Order: sequence, then C-alpha cells, then structure tokens
Amino acid sequence: MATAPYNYSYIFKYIIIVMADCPHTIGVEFGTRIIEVSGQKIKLQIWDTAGQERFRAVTRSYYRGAAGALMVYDITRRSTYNHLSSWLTDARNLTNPNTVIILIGNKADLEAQRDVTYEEAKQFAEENGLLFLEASAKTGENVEDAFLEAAKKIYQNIQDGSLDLNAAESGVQHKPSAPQGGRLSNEPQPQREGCGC
Amino acid sequence: MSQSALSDADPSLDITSPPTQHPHTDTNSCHDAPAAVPTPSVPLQPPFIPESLGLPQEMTVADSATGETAEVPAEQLEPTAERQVIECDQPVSLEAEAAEEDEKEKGWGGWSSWGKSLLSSTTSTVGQSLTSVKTKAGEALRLRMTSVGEEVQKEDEGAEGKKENEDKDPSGSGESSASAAASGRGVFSTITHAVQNTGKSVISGGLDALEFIGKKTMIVLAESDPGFKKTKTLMQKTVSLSQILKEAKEKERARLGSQPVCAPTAHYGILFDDYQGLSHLEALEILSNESELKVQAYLSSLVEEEQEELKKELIFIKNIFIKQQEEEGSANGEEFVSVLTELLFELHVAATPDKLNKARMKAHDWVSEVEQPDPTETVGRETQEDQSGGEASHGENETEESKKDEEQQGEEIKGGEDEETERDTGSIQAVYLSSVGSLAEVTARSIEQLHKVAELILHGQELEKPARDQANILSRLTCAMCKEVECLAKKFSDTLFLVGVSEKDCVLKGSNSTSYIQTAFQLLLPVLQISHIQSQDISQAASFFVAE
Repeated sequence: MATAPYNYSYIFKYIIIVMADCPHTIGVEFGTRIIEVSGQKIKLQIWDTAGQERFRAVTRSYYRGAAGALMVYDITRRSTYNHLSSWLTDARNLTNPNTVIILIGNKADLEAQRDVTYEEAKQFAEENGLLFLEASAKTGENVEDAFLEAAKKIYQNIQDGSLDLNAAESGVQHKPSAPQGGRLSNEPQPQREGCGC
Repeated sequence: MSQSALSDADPSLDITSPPTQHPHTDTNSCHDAPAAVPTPSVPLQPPFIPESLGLPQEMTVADSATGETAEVPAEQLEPTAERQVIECDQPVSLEAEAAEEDEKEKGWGGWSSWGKSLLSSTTSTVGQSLTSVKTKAGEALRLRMTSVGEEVQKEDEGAEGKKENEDKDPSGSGESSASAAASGRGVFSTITHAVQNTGKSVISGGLDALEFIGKKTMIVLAESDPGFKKTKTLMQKTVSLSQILKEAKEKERARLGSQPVCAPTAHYGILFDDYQGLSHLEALEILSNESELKVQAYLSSLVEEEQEELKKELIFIKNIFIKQQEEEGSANGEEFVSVLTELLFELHVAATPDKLNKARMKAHDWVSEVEQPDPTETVGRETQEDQSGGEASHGENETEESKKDEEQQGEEIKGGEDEETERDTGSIQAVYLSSVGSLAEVTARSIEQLHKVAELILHGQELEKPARDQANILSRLTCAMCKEVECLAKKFSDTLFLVGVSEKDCVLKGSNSTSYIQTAFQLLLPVLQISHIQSQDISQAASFFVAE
C-alpha cells in the first residue's frame, strides 16, 4: 500500500450511481484507482452510491463536485433502466455542466437474460449526451474502459479549457507539483519518517 | 486539541511536526497575569473581528458543528463564558470598535513581531477578559494549564508588566481586581458589539447570544496563540478540515513521489487517506454542512414563538456535544469492543462496528506479535499487560467478527504481509510503519463509523430514538474511540521504544487521531439537529423540506 505510486498529476472525483433492485450499499463507499491518460497518471476518487429512491436524500448530497458520473443499470432488469432518467436529472442538477456522465449497462455477461437492448440504451445515451458502454463487473469486461473513457473525456475538457480547474466544484485537482521528472529532488528532504534509503 | 491537529496539517509543515503552541498555553499565562495591562491599548481586538462579523449572524445555534469546530475546542470554555455573559449585559460603549477594525488589522498584520508589545496587550487583554469572566461569574475557568505558562513568559520579551503584576497579585487570579474587570471590557465590548451586530433577534434569543459570545471568547483565546496563525490562514483559505488534510497529504505525496522509490515510507496523512479516512471525513462534512443549512432554513421559516421553542431544543442537543464525556473508560480492549457494540446498538441505527473492530484487533494483535518474539529486550510489565489485553480482545472479536467484512480482506492481507516481514527482519522501520499504519487505520475506521452513523440517521426511516439520546450515546462512543486510539498510540510508543525509536512521534499521531475523531463527532451535531426537527413535527417539516 505504501508503495503505491504517489506521483499522479490529477485527482478526479467520480460518483457511481448504481441502479439496482437491492442496494449494494447504504450511503457511500469509497474506492481509489490510478489510471493513465495521455501519459498522465490520474487518481480516481470513487464515490460509490446506490441509486435507490430511499437513499436519495443522503446520496445526492455527494454528487456535487464530481468530475465524472457513472450511471450503472442492469441490462437484465428493465426496472433499473427505467429509473435512469429521474436519476439523470438529479445528476445533472447537482453536478456542474462539465461533469462527464457515462451510462453503463452492467451484467453484459448475461446475454441470455438481456432485458434492455444495446441499441435502445445507446440511443438514450445519445439523446442525453452521455457516453455509453456495456460492461460486466463480474468478468471485469469493459470496467476499466468505463473509468478510462470518462477520464479521457474529462482530460480532454481540461485540455481544451472547457473545464475550469479553478472552479470550486470542478471535481478535478491538479497537482502541478507532482514530480514527473524528480523536479523536487533538489529540495533537501528531511528523512524524519525514517525512510531507509 | 483541534488546533494541534490543524497546525500539524499545515501543508507547509510536516504533518508529524509537533504542535509547538497550544491555546491553553496562552490562556494560562494570561490567566496568571490578569491585571497586567496598564494600557487597554487600541489593538485590543485581534483580527478575528472581520471574520466574526461574517459569521452567521442570525442563528448560531448549530454552527459549532461546522468548520469552525475544528478551530475552536470550546468545550471547556464555552459554558463558562455563556454563564458569564448572562451577567455581562451592562451597556458597554462599543461605538469605537468598528472603526478600529482596520487599524487592528494593520497592527496585527505582523504576527512575526509576536513577543513584542503586541503580545503583552493581547495576552493581557485576554487575561483580563478571563479575569473578568471569573470575577463576574465567580467561577474559575477550568483550563488545563500548568507549567506551560512559564515557557510563554520566557518567550515573551514584552510582557514584563506581567511579571510585575504577578508580584502584586500573587494569587495570580485577581479575582476581585476592579481594574482587571474594567479593562476586561475591552474584549467583552468586542463581543457585545458583535452580538449587537447580529441583531435583535439574537439578543432576544438569549441563549444564542450566549453561545455566540462563548465562541467569540474562544476565538479571542485562540488568536492569542501565535501557532494559530498558520492554522487560521489555512482556515480562511480552505475552511474544512478534510480540505486541509488533503492538502497536507498531497504535499507529502508529492514529496514522496520525488524520492527514489525504496522502502515504503510511513506517512500518517497518506496512510489515513489510503484507508479512506479523508474521504469519509469529507463526506461527513458534506452531510454536516447540508444539515446545517437545512436547520437554519427551517428555523427561519418558523414564527418567533416556535422558533424560540425549537432553538431551545436544538441548543439542548448542542450542549450534549459540548459536554466532555469522561466517565467512559475503555482501559482494555475487551471493554472497548463491547462498549462500541453496545453503544451502536443503543443508537438504533443499523450501524455495525465490524470494520473498526477489525482494524483495532489487527492493531492490538500486531503489538502483541512485536513484543512476543523478543522477550530478551527490556520488555517489562507493560508488555504483559498489552498481551493479555490483546488476547482478550482477540477472543472477543473472533466471535463477533468471524463472517463479516469480506471486502476488507484485501487490506487485511496486505497488513498481514507487513506484519510478517516485520517480524522476520525485526526491522525498526517496519515496526514504525506498522505502528503508524495501524493508528491511521483505526482512526480512519472510527471516522468511517461516525460517517456511517450520520448517513443512517439522515436516511432514518422513523426515528426510533430521540436525538438527544442519540447525542449522548454518540458522545460516549466518541469518547470510547478516542480512548482506544490513545491507548493504541501509547502501546505503539512503548513498542517503538523497545526497538529503539523515540516514542514521541506516535503519541503525537495519537493526538492527531483523537482530534480527527473529535472533529468528526462535532460534525454530527447538525445531523442530529435536523433529525430532531424532522421527527418533531413530521408533517410540517416534511412539507417544508419538500417545498424547498
């Protein structure tokens, strides 16, 4: 754990909203992940929430300041898909206009039980300006891609200036001091933490 | 306590650097030299004034639970100050105060000149106000202060007057000193001024005003601490504790990143974040702030009578948060587990202490492991105690834990590897890493626990337990957590001492840990208040919040 790479240049806040009939969590759970976009290491701070009506009052508090929102439905349960639009409204209202929202159809491995077609969801995504992917948390298929696609889009927004990093709730922290080439190495570092090297 | 945490978190410092100044220090010195100041000089008021005027002026019912909590450990002082203020209603001329603000800003601009006349005027001002408090309320402020005051005196070149004064008044308290009381008006007039500014509603609110004044008093005290300056700068910039910690952590991370990657480096802040402590704290802050806004909005929607009524209730809850809970002893691990479980059960929210228990069990086991294989060293009685404690808690935990918390396995395993290597190599480095890591983990889990409780309370179906009861339970819970963390820190320092590392550091981190936990606890106040409101008058409140 302590050997994790500490030299990422950005932190993106992601909110995951999982539409499911039975919630996987109450409130929020956290995760982190380091990915790489255009040679830049990016740390994702993931806020994982359940998109269930009875938790809405609490979980929607967490949407603010997200750089990316991943809305996950279950392709084998149409009910989860049907809830999307009201949660999408929430996500739009509570995040900033530049927040990248990606729609993810989960359980892509269960093709036989499919209840929502790819085309239908794809169309919904296009109409609402969302990225779209089908993935499987079980097999891991496309999961990494989902995080990555959203990150690429966010990174692109940063590059073309449409996402203002100085805005209070951009959901992105830039670490200009993050050393890509040991820029800080000329700084004498006291070894008070007892690093053995 | 909070101050030390915050100043530790100052990104410009190493997070581990020892807090050099405590507010109590100065409080103390002032307290000893109350009538010191011949000149109730102009810079009576430190630059907190603008900030204080910017505070929520109408309703301060719950504000101590927001960001400010972090800077003001008001638990002890506030009640006294409140009582005091009741009597402090003498009309104090305040006209000049506002005009003086700018000057003061200038005058106080150079904190670097601390130790000069500024010091004497501040400290003595504060001292006087305290004396005045004492005189009027007839009750000593129970400040934890002893020898520290002397140190401050030494540093204080400009405070000769103080010494003189002490000679004159060997009792040091100047209880009956009329002049002290009179010059004490300096600070109180500031306060009163601020109160006046908050408008009639607050004054008629009575308790609100007292509360507000209590807080101002604390700010006065805090301002007199030179070490507080950095903290304050930080607070202005970033406001929330999680933000500050985040910055500190990132700075450290950047530093680590620039070093050639070698052995894992223990940094409490980073480890705390790795265990998601920071995230939970941030999330809890969000909930707290939103709840606070809702409380304020709801209050202002009420007619005056209802408002007064509700304020009383909310303040009642707040007072539970202010009270220090000392009676809960968790001397050994066994007790902690059962206390924790029992209290969470009592809360009537479906929170379970699994993660926290697991983390602390791991920590205690680790201590036992370190100590066991090396009986040759100067182990002594403490080890034995630790081991028996550790074993007891282990047994207890096994029954409660066994099947839960699968997702934690990853971390546990990692930790386990650390432990193994550490045992094999006996490396001091590893012992240190594990100590800091365990402390960070238990702290993070404690905060996660409090965050979960907040979520569950807010999510609350029907409130099963009155908010005031929950407040009491949470207060005890927090106390138990803090004791546990302190106890762990102590064990770690002992262990580290065994392997030859200075133990100071771990104790320090232990105190960081407890202030994080305390901060998290204070963040729960608005949560309970809004929960109380919603349970009070479900139909009315519900319609209000829906309309909103």
